[in-house]
Amino acid sequence: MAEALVKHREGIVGEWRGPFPFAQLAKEDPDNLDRWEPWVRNAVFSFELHTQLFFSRHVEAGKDSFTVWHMNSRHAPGAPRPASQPRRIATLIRPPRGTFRRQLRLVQAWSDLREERTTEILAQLTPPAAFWTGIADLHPDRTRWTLELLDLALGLAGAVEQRFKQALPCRRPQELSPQIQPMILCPGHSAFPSGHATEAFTIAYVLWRLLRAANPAKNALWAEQLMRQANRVAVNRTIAGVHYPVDSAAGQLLGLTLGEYFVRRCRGAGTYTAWRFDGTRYPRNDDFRWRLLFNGNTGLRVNTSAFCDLVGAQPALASPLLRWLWDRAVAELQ
Amino acid sequence: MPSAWRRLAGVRVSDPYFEWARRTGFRYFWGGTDPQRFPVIMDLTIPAAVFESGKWGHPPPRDWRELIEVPRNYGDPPPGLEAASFCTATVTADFFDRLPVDPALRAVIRSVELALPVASEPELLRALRPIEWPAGAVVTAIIDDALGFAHSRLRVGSEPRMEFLWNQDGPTRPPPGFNYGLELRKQDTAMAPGMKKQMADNTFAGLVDEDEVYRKTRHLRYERLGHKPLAARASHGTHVMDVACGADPATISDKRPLIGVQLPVRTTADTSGGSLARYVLDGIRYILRRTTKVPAVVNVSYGLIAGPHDGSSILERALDQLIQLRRAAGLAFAVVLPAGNHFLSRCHARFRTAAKARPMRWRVVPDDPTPSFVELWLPRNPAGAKVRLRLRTPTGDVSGWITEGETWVWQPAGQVLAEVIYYVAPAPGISRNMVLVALAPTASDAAGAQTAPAGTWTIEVQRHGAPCWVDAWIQRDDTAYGYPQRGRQSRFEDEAYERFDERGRELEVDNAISYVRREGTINPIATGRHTVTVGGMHYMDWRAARSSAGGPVIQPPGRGAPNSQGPDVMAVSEDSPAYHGILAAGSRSGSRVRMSGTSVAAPQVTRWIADQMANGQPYGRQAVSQFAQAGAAPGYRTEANPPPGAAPKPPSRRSGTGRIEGPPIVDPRIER
Repeated sequence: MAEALVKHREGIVGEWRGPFPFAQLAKEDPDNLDRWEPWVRNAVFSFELHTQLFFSRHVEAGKDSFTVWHMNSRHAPGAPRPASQPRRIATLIRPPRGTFRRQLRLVQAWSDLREERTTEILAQLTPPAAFWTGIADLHPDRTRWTLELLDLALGLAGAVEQRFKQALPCRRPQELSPQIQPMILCPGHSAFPSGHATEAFTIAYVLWRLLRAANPAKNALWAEQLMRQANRVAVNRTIAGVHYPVDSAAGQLLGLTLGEYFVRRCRGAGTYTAWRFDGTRYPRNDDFRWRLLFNGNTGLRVNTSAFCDLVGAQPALASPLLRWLWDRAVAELQ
Repeated sequence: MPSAWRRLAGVRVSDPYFEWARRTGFRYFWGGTDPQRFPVIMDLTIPAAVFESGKWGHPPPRDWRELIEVPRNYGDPPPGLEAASFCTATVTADFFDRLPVDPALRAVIRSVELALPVASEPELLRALRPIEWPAGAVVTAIIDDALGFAHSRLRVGSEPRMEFLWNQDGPTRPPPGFNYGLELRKQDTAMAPGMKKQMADNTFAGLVDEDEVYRKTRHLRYERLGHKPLAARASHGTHVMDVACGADPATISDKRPLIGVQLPVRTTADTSGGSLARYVLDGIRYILRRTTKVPAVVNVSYGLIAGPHDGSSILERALDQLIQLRRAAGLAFAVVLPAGNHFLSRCHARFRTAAKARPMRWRVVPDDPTPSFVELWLPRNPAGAKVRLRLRTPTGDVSGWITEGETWVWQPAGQVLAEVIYYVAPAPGISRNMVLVALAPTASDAAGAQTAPAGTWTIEVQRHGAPCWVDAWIQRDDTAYGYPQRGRQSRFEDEAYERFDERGRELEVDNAISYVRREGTINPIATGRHTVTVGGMHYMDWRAARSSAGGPVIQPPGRGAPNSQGPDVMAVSEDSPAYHGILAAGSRSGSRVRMSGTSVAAPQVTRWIADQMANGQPYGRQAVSQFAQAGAAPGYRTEANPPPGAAPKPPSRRSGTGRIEGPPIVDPRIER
């Protein structure tokens, strides 16, 4: 092909006539994002998101706590050096050993459903986009910006959840008993928190807010279905034998919080809420109960759990780049 | 090598299955530990209420209450059931030994059958408040597994139609008069919020969160180890309920309430039916207690293979008696059962004894972790027509000739691996003699477990007196729908039995020469006089479903001619030969699943009976039979107006008086 183009040009080019008049593109203009390929945009947006994160270990109320922070870094006009005013996003405290011992029994109890959930579990090995696109009516041609936005949210959830896993390593169920025998290859990272739960609830939350922004008439049924879907994905991992229910509870808290934070960063001015998951307070024998943290009638986050704390409203730095993408996604969903 | 068979001397058998259970150290029923107390079902010569009170007409043994515990329900019968003479009980091992020899016990207890246990709870001393049913109400009651009461097809408006639900292995809140399980009520009680409130409280964005409702009522305990049928996408009980009484919640009358009895998971998992009778009888008594002033029809879509097949089993006679008593008290009451699906399972043998021994070849499959049983039922006249028999193991070890009243064991290396019990019925006017052949599992993971050899066990039967007809059935030992693999079904083998025709299709007729018979495979809990039995057919062409079992039933001792050649009627159990099953509710609202077999045919007749009761029309066995033969009703097709292309009526032994096609459960606009 290259040779064809070379010879073809030789045949038609004629004598050199100099440049065509052109204007420079505007600097740091979000509208330029249109010009880039999706993967380039993804790199730009990811930079925008991840450069505002920080991870720390600290003792809070006597407990060994790990927190992901929003750095809120900015610089004044004319002053190139940024200054940060960090704000908490989410804090996780690892459940004690005894909790996992008890939770193992639940993993065994759920294994009863392995056979009939096999197709779902296999289809959900990688981020199970088909399951949420079906609820929200997404399509690569019609809703490309939405899919790009969700990809970004997924990236945020993935990075944060893996950082927590690295900090709070927990043994997988199969390490506690040779009888669990997961029905899929057990992933090579910590059990706690559940990445599938984190991602599924991040997506469910972001998508719900997006649908509502595009069409305020969409009622809580949309939220209910998205959250039921996220719950099902999370529980399927327990059925498969790779997660304890408490992993999903922490993943849900983290996912909803990251979702809310993500939406705030996209939409600009306003606040998000910071949360804490205290694994030492998680009732050891309790199954995963997603309704403790979300009200399906109002479509709002709630806290009726004994193990999560609302830390408070936090301002988030807006990002014109992320806003650009959000607005396009909202527009195409209208 | 010396034979490992030996005859046991001085064995007194009051229930052959208990004899086998104890002889094998309770290894296959209670995990090898002696449970001390055993659930049973009993046939009494006096009313159960009198029995429970201890006023037997002669002094009972002083310690009888230590031997026998009867649920209080039986001591406090609802009006009209005072004469009911069947009950369940929990008894000691000592009881089984004393029953055959203690005249005081023998005078009041005709026979007992062992059942598998569930965990028991202390009996609650609660007053039973009278229930106000709406005027003109008809109750449909379902005894089954996995009853998804919150399903939208089982609601009226946004409320559950289920008024009472007894989950027999639910935790810690038994219904009054019983000491096990969990009773849920629609309305709130002092002890717990009712099903109605739980559903209202767990409705989000207009959708009932059924998982949450079941979790909060403790009807479904996800944290429990083992099989949880209601957690699965399809459940037998919910499907059967939809077929029997499912409806659009917006249009259904509030006069069609439901009562549910969810059998213990173990009862369903153990398809050999070891515990079925006891839980069904308790369930029926529970339903009768709750329906003292209202007509009720009960659907029991359960079946076995082995049994007397003459209506004389304890459960069948108990059902017949309760139906008669309830009707005599002026209340409509019916029980509907499936004909069974073992027409082609090669589990029935029938032959006439002769001087020359007839060998029956019993093919026992490997890797069966449960025991296997054959019951040989002898004719009603034991005086002249006895048999003797001997067993040959797959290893070639032959027993001696076994005759009436004897018990033999095969014990090659420590454990008893096979036992033959020639059981003499204590009440020959009611039941027949039976030889139980019991085999240990052919596979086991338990430490120190010994297993029976898989392969062909030969049972040779010879006349011992006048020649007679003998029927043998292999007990059911397969795996229930959706359950983890458990038993493996053994079968009879005979080269004269033709399975396929020359085009490779499964044959549905018996030839004249094979002792292995399709006939007589009917569900042995469904051969009573007053229960309604339903076979299965295809929707497409009205042919019999291949597996739908058939009669004849056997002439009961002392009770004249058989009531029926087999099932009473047929209803749709399969869409077509290729498309098995029919569509009805899955476990959760909005889902539909396919389930097949006579289990899903029976509830269609249950639905018809409920409608008849509501209209004050005849609803009993005879009415059902007449309707199939010549009846007409909107939405129904019968032999009077079969669809174009309907096959000729199958033989009466399979189809009774005729076929009934009810209105479809799922909107007919859904393609099928």
